Amino acid sequence: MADLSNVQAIVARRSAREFFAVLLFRIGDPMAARAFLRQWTPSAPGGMAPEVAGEGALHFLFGWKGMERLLAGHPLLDVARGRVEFESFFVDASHSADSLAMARQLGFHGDSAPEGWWGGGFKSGDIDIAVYGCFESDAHRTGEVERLRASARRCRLEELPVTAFPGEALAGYRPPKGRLHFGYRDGLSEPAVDWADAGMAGGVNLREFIAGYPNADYPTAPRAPGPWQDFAREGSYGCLTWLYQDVAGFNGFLRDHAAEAESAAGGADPQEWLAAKLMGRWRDGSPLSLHPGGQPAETVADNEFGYADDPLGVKCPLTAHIRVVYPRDQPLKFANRVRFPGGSPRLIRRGFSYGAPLASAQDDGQDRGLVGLFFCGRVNEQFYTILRWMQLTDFSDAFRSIPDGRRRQDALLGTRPDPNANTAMHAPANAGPPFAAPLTNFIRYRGVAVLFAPSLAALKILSGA
Amino acid sequence: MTHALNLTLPIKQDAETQAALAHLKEIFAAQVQPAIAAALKQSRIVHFARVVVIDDKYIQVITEYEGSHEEYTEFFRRALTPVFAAIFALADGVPDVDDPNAFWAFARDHNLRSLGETTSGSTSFDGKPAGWLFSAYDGRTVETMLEAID
Ligand code: HEM
Repeated sequence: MADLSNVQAIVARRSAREFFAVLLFRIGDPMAARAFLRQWTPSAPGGMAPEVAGEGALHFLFGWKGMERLLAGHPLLDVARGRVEFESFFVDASHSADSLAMARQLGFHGDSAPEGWWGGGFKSGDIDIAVYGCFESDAHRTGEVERLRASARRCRLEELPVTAFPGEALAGYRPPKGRLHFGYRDGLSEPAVDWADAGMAGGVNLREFIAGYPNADYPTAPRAPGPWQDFAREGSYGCLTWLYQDVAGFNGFLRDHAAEAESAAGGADPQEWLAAKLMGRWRDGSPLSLHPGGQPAETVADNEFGYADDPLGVKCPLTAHIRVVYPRDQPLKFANRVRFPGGSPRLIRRGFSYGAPLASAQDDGQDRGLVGLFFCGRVNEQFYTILRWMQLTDFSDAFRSIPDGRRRQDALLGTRPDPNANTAMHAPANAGPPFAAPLTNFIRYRGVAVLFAPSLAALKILSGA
Repeated sequence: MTHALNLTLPIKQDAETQAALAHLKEIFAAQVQPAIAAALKQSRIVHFARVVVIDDKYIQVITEYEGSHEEYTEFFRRALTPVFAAIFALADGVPDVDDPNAFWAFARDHNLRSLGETTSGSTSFDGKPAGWLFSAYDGRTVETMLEAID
């Protein structure tokens, strides 16, 4: 069935590397750009292949405009046809992440408004090619980035500089022990993809992540058989997301509300309890659903849990980050059950942290956060849907059970202030009234671009090989 | 926030299409209407819905519903695939209703904006302010209304 070795490795498996960078380019001359791709894409790893010691592991993503320019004049792939066949939410600038039609509903307003994205130097739609590189060390990264840049210059690729970063490109590191800037451990939950398409128990259908095998339940674009569907096969939409994390603000929230949370926390450290109720996991990663009373002595990175026995969110609040972005066995509302016959939408998450940890109680004015790459087979039905659910929790009837439930937000990631939403924290307690507190804006979107990570075979086509 | 959908398609004037239209009219009450009602009833996101034919030249699907267009167009497509197939077949440039992408583009391109300006913050498919939609209950949601009377 699907040829996993043809899927870019960054989709198929996590990188084992510690250092990362993303270089963004606009194509000057398509012919020269193809030469760049011919130089670099042959070593792009595919499938589960581990990274090769000493070599940079580079992965390639494209904006629609970039693909259009690279494929113009191709004898089989008529770009006018491709424009119709690829997903509108990837192709159509009037529905891009930073568009008037989409930005507000996805939470890109206020401090997260697209006007200031990427530092103001360029627009998401300017990104023709993104190179996502995974490196062994800082020095390795510096050397490889240098080589890439020299080659890009020769091939008339104009780099889109992200000037907020010292090296003028998104760059960061694997967080030590998996702990992100807010102190949460990440990298625990990952969709188990049924790559063999064999009905693997507990597996997620491969069509959730790759194009080219559409069916009625997973109608990925291009839907119709033909050259564009062949081209897209084993490719995946990669949604590049640059997020600032306000660590001082987050720590301040925990500190300011610790005293009020004392009794609801029932013996647990109130700051840790608050942090856990925002996320759905204790900061060490142990799920609240399995350890509602307190953080276990040893981390339990268990991922086998659901929410069916906790309809009111007494163990894990309905608005906790992980319960909003993947509600597991919590039933969706009827319209969403119709949309998602295979279950709640999923994302494959890749990315890295950036910026030095905050060492003081006050904000030090330094930039820090994370760069995420979210892979999916359908942009609007997965990435955008999850972003919308984070802004307005009207996706499941479970929210009927809490006051104003359908107007809540992802407690950690909602964009605030938002007059359309009730932005207060709501964490039911075992005894006594639910814990409530006004939530502030803990993160800011600083750039989002919907890109496509073609298969290795399609990379050859793009590079004119 | 309640949105209006004013999906408006010109009907082809050839004899075959006109016969299909006559057939649709004939079976509407017994077959089409119950199918639409069943899906919309369960959805709890649609206030009202109807299908209107103007002089056998235009057909309109008109609804008042909640949530972003981008969020629920796919629900309508999946829940009512055969109904939309029958209606769209009357017009030119019919999309494959099994293709969400084509269905979305077709719906977006055939939605007419109502006159006037929204007073509720509702937006059109392009994100600009939608036309005017009067609501006696100030845009309260279907859920809120149902809960109030349940
Ligand atoms: C600064 C921003 C963010 C932080 C600090 C954050 C943190 C986390 C953490 C700690 C986990 C739990 C670890 C795990 O299950 O592996 C998690 C899970 C997850 N996050 Fe986020 N996240 C952020 C942004 C986002 C965004 C923007 C999205 C979606 C577009 C997202 C989607 C998910 C998903 C789908 C899961 C898996 C849930 C599960 O499988 O139970 N996250 N996140």
